[in-house]
Amino acid sequence: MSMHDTGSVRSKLILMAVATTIVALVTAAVAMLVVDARSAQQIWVDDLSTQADIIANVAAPAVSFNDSASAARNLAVLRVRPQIVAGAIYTNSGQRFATWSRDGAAKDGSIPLRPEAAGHRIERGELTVFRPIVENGEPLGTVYLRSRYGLFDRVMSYGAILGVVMLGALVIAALVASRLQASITRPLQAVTQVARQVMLRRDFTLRVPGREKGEIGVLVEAFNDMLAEIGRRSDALQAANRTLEHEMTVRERAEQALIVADRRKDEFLATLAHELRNPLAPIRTGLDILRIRSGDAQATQRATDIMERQLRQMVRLVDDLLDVSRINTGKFTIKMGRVELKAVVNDALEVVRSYIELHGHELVIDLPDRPVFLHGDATRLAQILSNLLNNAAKYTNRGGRVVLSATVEDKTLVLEVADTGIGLAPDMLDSVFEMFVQVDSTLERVNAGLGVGLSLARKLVELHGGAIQAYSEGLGQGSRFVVRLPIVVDPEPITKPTPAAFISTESYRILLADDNVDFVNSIGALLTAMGHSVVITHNGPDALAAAARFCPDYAFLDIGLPHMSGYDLARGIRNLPTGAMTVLIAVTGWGQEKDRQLAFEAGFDHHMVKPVRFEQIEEILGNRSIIKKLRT
Amino acid sequence: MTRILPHRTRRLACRALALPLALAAVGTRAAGRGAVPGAAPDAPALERRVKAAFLYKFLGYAEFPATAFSEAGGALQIVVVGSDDMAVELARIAAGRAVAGRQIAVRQVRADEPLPPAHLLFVAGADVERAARVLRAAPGAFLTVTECDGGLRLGSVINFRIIDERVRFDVSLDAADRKNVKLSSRLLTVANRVQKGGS
Repeated sequence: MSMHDTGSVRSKLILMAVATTIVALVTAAVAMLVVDARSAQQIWVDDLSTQADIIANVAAPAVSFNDSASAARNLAVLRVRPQIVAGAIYTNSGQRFATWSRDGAAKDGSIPLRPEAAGHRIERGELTVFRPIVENGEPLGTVYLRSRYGLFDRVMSYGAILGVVMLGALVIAALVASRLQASITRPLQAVTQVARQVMLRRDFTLRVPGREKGEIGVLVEAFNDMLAEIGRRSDALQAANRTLEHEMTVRERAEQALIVADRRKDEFLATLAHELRNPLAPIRTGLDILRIRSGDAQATQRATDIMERQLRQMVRLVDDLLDVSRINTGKFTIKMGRVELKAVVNDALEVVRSYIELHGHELVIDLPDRPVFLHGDATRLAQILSNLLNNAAKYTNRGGRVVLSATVEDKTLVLEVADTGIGLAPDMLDSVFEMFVQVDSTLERVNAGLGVGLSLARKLVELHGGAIQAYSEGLGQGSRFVVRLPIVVDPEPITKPTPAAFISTESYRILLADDNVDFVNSIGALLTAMGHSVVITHNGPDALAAAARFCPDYAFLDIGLPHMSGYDLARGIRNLPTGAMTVLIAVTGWGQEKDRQLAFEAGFDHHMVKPVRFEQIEEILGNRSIIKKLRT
Repeated sequence: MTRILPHRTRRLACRALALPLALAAVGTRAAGRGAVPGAAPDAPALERRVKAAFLYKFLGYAEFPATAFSEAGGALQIVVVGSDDMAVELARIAAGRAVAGRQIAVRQVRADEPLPPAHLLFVAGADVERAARVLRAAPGAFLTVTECDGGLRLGSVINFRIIDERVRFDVSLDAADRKNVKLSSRLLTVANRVQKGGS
């Protein structure tokens, strides 16, 4: 706040004090002047009258004894009074007896010739007084006195004194006011200054210092409180803004992730279509061969091999997809048990060996000599290995080398699948395990995969309490996948029955019910060839009738049968007198857990998802004794 | 101020003097009670009247001892020796008047008569011998006034004189002291001469 700001509270206060003082002083001065003028006039009249009375008294003998010289001497005494300008004495008969005037006899004309009645008169700035001369009770004459009437001069000098006093008073008032106003303006200035600072710096932590009393104190306190409140709200606003920004970022990231996921899904769909379409061409070719050259046993065999290989690839693909789906929805269960490494490796090799050989790769296997026991699901562990090997075979150019090695480190089994393939870029080492991620979309179609295999492998490893890691020296340098699994040291108490007992000595009665005529006929032909007696039906009622008549040991029932659903058919068979002894297997295109549940509720013992591989049927037939044991 | 011109005749001067003196003496009375308007009195008569007025006024400036009065509130006794005119004039002036609350009694006595007690004794005439004889014969008189040359030496308190054709008077304070009469200083201011001590 500028000290010279005329609008400031400070100047206004000083101005107020000075103005008040001026008004008070002027009023007092005017009143004093009026009173003084009035009293002064009275005093002067009284004074001059007294003077005249004194002269009258003194001059009485002179008048009495007719001594005008003495009277003149008496009058001459008046010279000691400067304001008296003239005097005279008249006899009783009205004659001028003696005169005196300050400036000599020349001014006699100003002295009246005849006396007037006793009294006073003011005219032309002069005061004239007539007083009687009384001696011994007798009037002797009259005294005349005239004096200057300096009322104006007196008022002027009095006013001058008042003016000087007023000036002094004003100066003092201004000084006092400027001292006193500090108690009001200092806090106000502080408030103003802080307000300005707050506006400039946007700093709401500033406070007006000092503890004043009264309204100023309340003002300062309220101002500080307001600052605090504004500060709080400002902080809250900023915090809300930050939160919003953060949420914004999170949302953008999520959106980005969604976009990426969406793109991957699109790519996945394209790839899926391609992958599913790929095996169809050779299968179709095989069919053509079979139709055209049905007589050529060698050609037929080759076509059948091709078709079987392609079919297996497709089934494997769809299985993987289903597994991934189950894992993602949390419905994937693994049957934990004691598993020996070699069995797992054999299972895996059985699946992928033909594929590796197809690509012309050299397969090197290096396993520890002593048996290594793992805690897990043999099928799934084999699936992990087969996926890794399959992957290695797929992303290695023809004639490459695939190495499967296993070592034991303390209580951990380290499985390593290495290849001499196209390798991985460093930034892909982690993301290669994500769903639908493929190494390079520019790869030729034949090398393109669904991006499901590795993702499934990692999930399975994690379900077994292990870890999987990818290593690569770079693109074209080959890649290495290392799986670490915990080892169970205890020896296996009982020998696990071979999961796939291939050789069957028993022959069973088997009922097949499916509206896919080709499928059931081919399966039926195979089973018949293996020595079993087979009845084939294509709808529900027929199947139920066949079951009642045939009393099958096994019944493979399609869920989607005409005229009667597989579930109803199963319940019908179970209601038959011999129904309880039949092993019911649901064959369905739906592999969801819900479907499995429905199947088991309807009385099925097994659940198979189309397309059904013949090995699966064989496996079920091999477990006959176990099922029997369970049921009895 | 009335100026007295020295080259004028005595008659004229007296005439000019008469009116103001008379007026001054008996101003409060109807104008010209003692002066006949239109007929100027002769000079000796005027002088009588002026001196009569002075005599009356002397009483106002004199303070007599308490022993001077036989009774409280007693009248002031004025005794005039040797002038019937003066006695008449004085009686006329004093008639109905009082000085300091006292009546004034005027008696006229011839020179060879025994003198009654008097507060104011006026011996008229320029005859020094007679004045001295009267004064000696009146030791009880308080305020003695003469109008002869050297009157004060004879023991009178006040002696009239004519100066510049005007009536003036000399005062002897020693005589006043002897007579136990106190004279006002205001009277002394208008006296022609105040004799005090050996002077």
